[in-house]
Amino acid sequence: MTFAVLRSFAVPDGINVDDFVAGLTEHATRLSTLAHSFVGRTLPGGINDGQVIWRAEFASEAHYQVSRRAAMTSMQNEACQDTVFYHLGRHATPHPNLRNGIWRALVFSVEPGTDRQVRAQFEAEMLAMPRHVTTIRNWSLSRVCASQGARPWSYVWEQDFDNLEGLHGQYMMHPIHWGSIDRWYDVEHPDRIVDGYLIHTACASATAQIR
Amino acid sequence: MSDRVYILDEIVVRPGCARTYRDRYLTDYAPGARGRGMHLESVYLTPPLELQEQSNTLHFLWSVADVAAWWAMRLGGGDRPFDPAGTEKVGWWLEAEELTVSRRRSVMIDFAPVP
Repeated sequence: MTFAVLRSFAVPDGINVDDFVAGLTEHATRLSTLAHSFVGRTLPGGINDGQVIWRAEFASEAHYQVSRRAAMTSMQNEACQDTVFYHLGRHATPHPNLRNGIWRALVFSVEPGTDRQVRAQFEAEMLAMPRHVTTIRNWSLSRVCASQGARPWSYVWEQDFDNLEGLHGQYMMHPIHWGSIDRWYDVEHPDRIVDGYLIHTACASATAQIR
Repeated sequence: MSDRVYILDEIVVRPGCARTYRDRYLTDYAPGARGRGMHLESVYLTPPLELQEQSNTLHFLWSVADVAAWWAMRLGGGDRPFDPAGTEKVGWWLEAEELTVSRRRSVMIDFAPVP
């Protein structure tokens, strides 16, 4: 099962962001069992996502464990804000040949003690979203198995879009989102189960990231 | 069809607390809500008399201009602080718990048939 590691970085003052991206990209080439790597600059409008995202994919968790031996530099480690480790969950990739689009991820934490049936309903509603929001080209909803950073993260919700308009337009404006799904996230809503501190990030991507 | 988005708060209050809850909601919650772009449409009470030994349900109907106004209300931004975690809004709901048996919030649009 595909195993992924997603990291966000706050690039230190005085370090050129493009140089930081190049450094991570070079580091990725030394991971012998890496199946796929994406290092991207975060686009404006992100929430708690730093300046750089690195998404690394491995054929399995065992493959990742082999590559762990190649460590990041101390500067890269110190710049790392949040890390989530996950097996790729439910997903659909009807547009594998998407080019020059937008990859977007939402990393969030569900309140401890949330009833299992409530959580199941939440997941079902999230998984139904792509049926309504057609600008979501590829998607995945994954449960986090381990994490480091600001929260004990629970989920990674990822999408590929053709362009930013797909994310800022139909995705945000569709009533299934603001009128139904959003209640799980809204601090004012009695149905809320998602912690208000979350990571929303988007990057320009030459290829589809959800595979 | 109107672009307005409606938000209905249905609050089951503790016995004898209908008036107290209404007054505190309007004093402590409503100004902030208006500041976030919400418009208070109406306030209703059911059953239609203030009960002392049983619970009433209060219905507060709000609206925002459209979906863009909805997201501005939810997340802030523009000329208001960007507050995706909604920290400024949480205080009222915690404070009101002592008067509350249960509550629902519904998001609605006008569905009346066009004549």
